Amino acid sequence: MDGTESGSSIRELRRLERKRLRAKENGNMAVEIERDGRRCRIAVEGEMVIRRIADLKPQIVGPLAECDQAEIDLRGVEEIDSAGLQLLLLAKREAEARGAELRLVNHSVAVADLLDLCELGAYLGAGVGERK
Amino acid sequence: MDAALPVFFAECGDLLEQMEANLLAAERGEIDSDSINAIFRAAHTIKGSAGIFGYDEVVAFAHRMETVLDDVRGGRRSLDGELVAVLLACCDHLHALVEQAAGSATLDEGVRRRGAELGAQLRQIHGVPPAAERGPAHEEPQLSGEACAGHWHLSLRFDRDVLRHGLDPIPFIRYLKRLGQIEHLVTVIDALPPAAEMDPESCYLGYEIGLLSEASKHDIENVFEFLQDDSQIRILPPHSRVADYLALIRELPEEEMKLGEMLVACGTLTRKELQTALHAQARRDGEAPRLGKVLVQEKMVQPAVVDAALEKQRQVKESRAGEASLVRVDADKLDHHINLVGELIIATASASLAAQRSGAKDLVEIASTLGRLVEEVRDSALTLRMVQIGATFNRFQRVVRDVSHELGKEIHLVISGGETELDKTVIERIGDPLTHLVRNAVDHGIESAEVRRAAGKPLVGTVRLNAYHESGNIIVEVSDDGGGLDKERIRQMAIEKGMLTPEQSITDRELFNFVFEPGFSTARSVSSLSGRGVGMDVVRRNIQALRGSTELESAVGRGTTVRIRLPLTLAIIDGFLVGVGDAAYVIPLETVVECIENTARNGGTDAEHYLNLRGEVLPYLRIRDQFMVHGERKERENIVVVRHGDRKAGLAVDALLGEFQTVIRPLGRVFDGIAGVGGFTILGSGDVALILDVPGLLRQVAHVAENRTDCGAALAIN
Repeated sequence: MDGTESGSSIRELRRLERKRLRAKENGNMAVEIERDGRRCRIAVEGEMVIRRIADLKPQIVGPLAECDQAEIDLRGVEEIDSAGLQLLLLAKREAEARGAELRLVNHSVAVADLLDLCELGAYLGAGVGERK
Repeated sequence: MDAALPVFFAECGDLLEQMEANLLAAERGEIDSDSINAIFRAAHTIKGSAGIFGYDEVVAFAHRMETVLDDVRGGRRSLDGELVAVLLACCDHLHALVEQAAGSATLDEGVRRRGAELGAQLRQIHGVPPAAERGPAHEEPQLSGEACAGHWHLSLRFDRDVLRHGLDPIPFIRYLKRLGQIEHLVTVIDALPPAAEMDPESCYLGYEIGLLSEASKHDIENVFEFLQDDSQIRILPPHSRVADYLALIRELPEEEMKLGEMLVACGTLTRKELQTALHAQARRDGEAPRLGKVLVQEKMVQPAVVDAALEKQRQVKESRAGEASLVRVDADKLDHHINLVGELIIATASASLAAQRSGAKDLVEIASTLGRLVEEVRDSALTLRMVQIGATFNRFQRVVRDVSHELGKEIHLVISGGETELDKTVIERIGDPLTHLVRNAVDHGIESAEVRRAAGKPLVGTVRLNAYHESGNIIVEVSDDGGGLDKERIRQMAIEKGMLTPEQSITDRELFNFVFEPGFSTARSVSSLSGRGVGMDVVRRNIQALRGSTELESAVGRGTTVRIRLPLTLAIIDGFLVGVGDAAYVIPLETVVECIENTARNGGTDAEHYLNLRGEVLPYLRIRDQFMVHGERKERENIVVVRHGDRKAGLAVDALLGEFQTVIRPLGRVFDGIAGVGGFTILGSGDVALILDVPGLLRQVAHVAENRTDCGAALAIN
């Protein structure tokens, strides 16, 4: 590993840290959406909990309804409760009903933990989007 | 290639452990196709990997096992008690073979002979014509009788508003794990409306839960006490009548078939029970054709679909638990890492001290940031060492099985709290004491079947292993539902041994504590297993060496519980620094309750060593006297009130110096005899500070208190 590479990874870490702090300042939640035609990628940061869920629903369900292929990145989800879980289940079911592909990726520990408890790992797991 | 060997041996160990657990489950009758497959796969994998490394003996033996297991898998041979016994012996033999391979020793003659014997047995079993067509498949399920599920079934449907009221069902479900083990859980999402109508703040979720627990219905209901008002909570006890489940199916809003399937998924009803039940009901209702047709279709379609879904889920789980997210790390590397973190903590402490002395603002700020980060590093480093206690617990299934067979008792081991995490070192060192306690429970705790019958208890005895967190400690419990300890006998023995005078009155708890004294045994018969009066004292010593403590509860006719209280970790503690004279001492922070000033007002005089803590009599110990610190006593003393378990006492010190994070270093052997010291540490200034052993000091205080209260004054403990 040379100097520039480790330097860039440190910069990357700093960038992530700043982003995390920003998310915290902005009321513990941020959604980043990347659209590309009928495809989109939604990254959720912070808390997927009841306090924030009313703001969160349109931000997630909205773009999904207009896409055939979507990914929800859960790496930054620090906390999730029943409301958050319910929203993910809704998104998944809606996508299935329309025949669209929805993948949940990069489950954070909090999310993986909850899915494990609810035995939903297979349903909301990574890569199950292709499931018939 | 050699580098892969340790991995192979570790893997073999894991697989054999799994195989053993599955076989023991089979013996208890909790067997399904999944676990049979798992047993088969384990043998197959060991054979395959052993082949790569050229361990021919292992390959040959594993192959024989595999052949027989394949018969079982194909339904040509049923996995009965006899076969399980042979397979368990095979499992042991395979273990011995692998161990010898690991030690690169040549084969021991005894092992070789055992292998030949077992091999012959396996061949014979394989040669035996398929077991007569009398599998469980042919047994007629009884509709009016009990369902086979041995667990509670919980159906939860929540009020739409629970989330708005700040009540999240998830923590309640998590809490259930403290009562027992969640066997299966199905999340019901049928009530979820279309996206447009869905109010994200309403709760549409429901849960069907199979809970294996010894708790009473009342206890389980209590978990949902807050929810009960506006939610539908149905709790069905184990072995409920099939008709009750049917009633449940009808009561809940979901479609009948779907709910039935959920019950099946929860393992609460077998598919057969459900089908027969619905069939019969439909016939009575006169709607047989429609429902019947559905069922037949279901019957044809469903098994394959369900199996596929289960397999899928298993794969996802396995791959997540498996190589995808796990790294095997050499334990030595980990220990080295922890040691370095320990050094880092000391270095940070001196840096922050230096910064404060320099008075430079920016330096102080940097030091405090650094301190916070190091704290986080410490926490995450410590979690690396945390291991779930479940694997250790599961090993006892075999111990209980073997010992109870030997004694001719029927005993069931119930495990809960297996996911509780403990420091790796603690887990390693708690095995022996636990083995002793479990053997004790099996041997002396549980009575013989005749005695149990006479007492009107279930014939099958129960031994329970449980673990949970409690305020900075881990509690591990070993309990049995046996005869309990004979108080009078303990009293007699204590008097015989001169530990007690006949007229002395003591609490039950102190009485039971005598059991942990050396040479104390209440067992009436000496067996090969236990009862010779050595052991409980060793158990206590081992636990104390881990900075833990033991206590015992017992009720005649109802059983005995031994509770082990252990610190979360051994390496690093949050301490409270106090000064006496020129010396500094560290008190583990989790034991500190409060600090008060010792004045004449609350009665802290020299002669008595008691003070009045808001009306409570609190014994206290002067650290200056304890460690014979030179110098004059200060006018104003401080008392640090400490607690361990439910013992409480004060420690009198000169000065309170504040919180201090520290690494425990063991004292040398020379200092073994010093009571009340658990180790030492190095302060930021480079000085050495002793770490106080609070449980030890509390025992000392209690002892002094007992001696003084002979004349009948109230005991100040508790």
